Amino acid sequence: MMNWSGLLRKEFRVTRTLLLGVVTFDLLVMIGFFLGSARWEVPYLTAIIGGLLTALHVFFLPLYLLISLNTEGRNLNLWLHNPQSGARLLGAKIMNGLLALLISIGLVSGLALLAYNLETSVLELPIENVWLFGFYFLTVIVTGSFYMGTWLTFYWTLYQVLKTYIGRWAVLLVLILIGFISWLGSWFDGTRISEVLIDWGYVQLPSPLNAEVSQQEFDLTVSTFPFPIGNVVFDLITIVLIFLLTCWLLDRKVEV
Amino acid sequence: MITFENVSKRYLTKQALSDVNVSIPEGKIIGLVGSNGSGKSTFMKMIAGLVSPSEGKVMIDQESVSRRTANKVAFLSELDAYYSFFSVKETIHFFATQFQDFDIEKAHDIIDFMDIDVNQKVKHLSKGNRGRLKIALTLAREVPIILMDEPLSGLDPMVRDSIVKGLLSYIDLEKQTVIITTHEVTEIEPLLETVIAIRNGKVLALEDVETIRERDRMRIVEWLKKLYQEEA
Repeated sequence: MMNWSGLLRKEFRVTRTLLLGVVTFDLLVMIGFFLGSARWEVPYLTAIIGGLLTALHVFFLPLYLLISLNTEGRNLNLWLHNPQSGARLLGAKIMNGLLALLISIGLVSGLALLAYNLETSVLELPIENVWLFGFYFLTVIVTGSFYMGTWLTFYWTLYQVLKTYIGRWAVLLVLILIGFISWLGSWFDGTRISEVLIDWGYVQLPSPLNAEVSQQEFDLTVSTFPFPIGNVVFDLITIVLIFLLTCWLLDRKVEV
Repeated sequence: MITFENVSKRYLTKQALSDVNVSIPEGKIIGLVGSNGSGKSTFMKMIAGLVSPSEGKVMIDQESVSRRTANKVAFLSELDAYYSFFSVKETIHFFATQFQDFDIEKAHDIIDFMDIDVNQKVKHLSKGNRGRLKIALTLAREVPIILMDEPLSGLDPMVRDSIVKGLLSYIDLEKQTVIITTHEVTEIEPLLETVIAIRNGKVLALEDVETIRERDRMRIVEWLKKLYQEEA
């Protein structure tokens, strides 16, 4: 337990300045737009900027991990001469990055929500339940960031393995591999196997939007939307496998 | 015991080690000597599990080494690698959390002996003091194998002398084997019991220092030169 908390504390110190910088940026942007919105008279300006900034957090974890991993990459022997498993070394980074992501996204979305509630505009947005909307939005951004972060960790580790053998060509090879895996993913999405693996277990989730479908004969208010559990299970299995493969590469194949 | 069985290591353009077969005796201070680029660092990193052989096996007590062999091996790298944001005290604490065998009290003893301020940030230490900190962090571990790759590099002669003298008091040769590489062979010669000569990735000889002195009537550097000439 002590080694895990020691790793977490070290990870926090590795990226502490980065987190402080991001939080300061968040505050400056949100407060700046809040003060400016009174002059510019654009409805919901601060909330919209907050929403955009929140959406940009999808890139937070991959960038955060890239900076953290590159810091270790400069002194690989210091990081890797450690009896802890690769899962712990990487897990501590991901855990710390997630915590930083939650701090930053929590701050921005909290301020955006506050600005939305303070808004006196007569313009009505088609959001029925702002809390539910926020919850879905944040879930998509945080899980998306986690997904991308895990893939980035895999590509970074693969780069470290290849670098030993092919030097600077490793960057090119990893970029080609990223392109190929992205293409493979797109191709797979359209196949019958993908449909079988992903397109199942639909549940109806409550919709936060106030969407009305009007026909000549009747009005219909859409209060739910279908959501495939199969998709979540498939993504979860993929990401666990990618993480395990990354840990194996780090433990067995990365050299200093 | 550390054993290399038919070990070779190839990089893209370089053969770092070539068919190395050697068994390293326990409980001794062993010098690994050779010219620049002879494969000393690769040899050490292989024992630490930080480099894998392209062919053959490196084993410690009959078990193949891997990165996680770090629980049996303390490795001092030749590189000036440290977490700059930590103070000396925080660095010691971090190492203590990562290595179960780390003796905090011993680390502080060595730091005192080396005359380093524990409250100073590592990035503010002089290169010499960072070198001393690395030595303290390595010797504070109660592990069977201690590897020190160029531990004296960057240290001034006065400091080197005091460290060489201090080394013996922080090593338990009943339980520990120490392998040291250094270009300052003459300075550590009084410490060494065994020496391994390496050239172009090949182990030329493993010999007791006593034998070199009595049989060959040579010092280590002269013995190494002779081996290199014979090999050329």
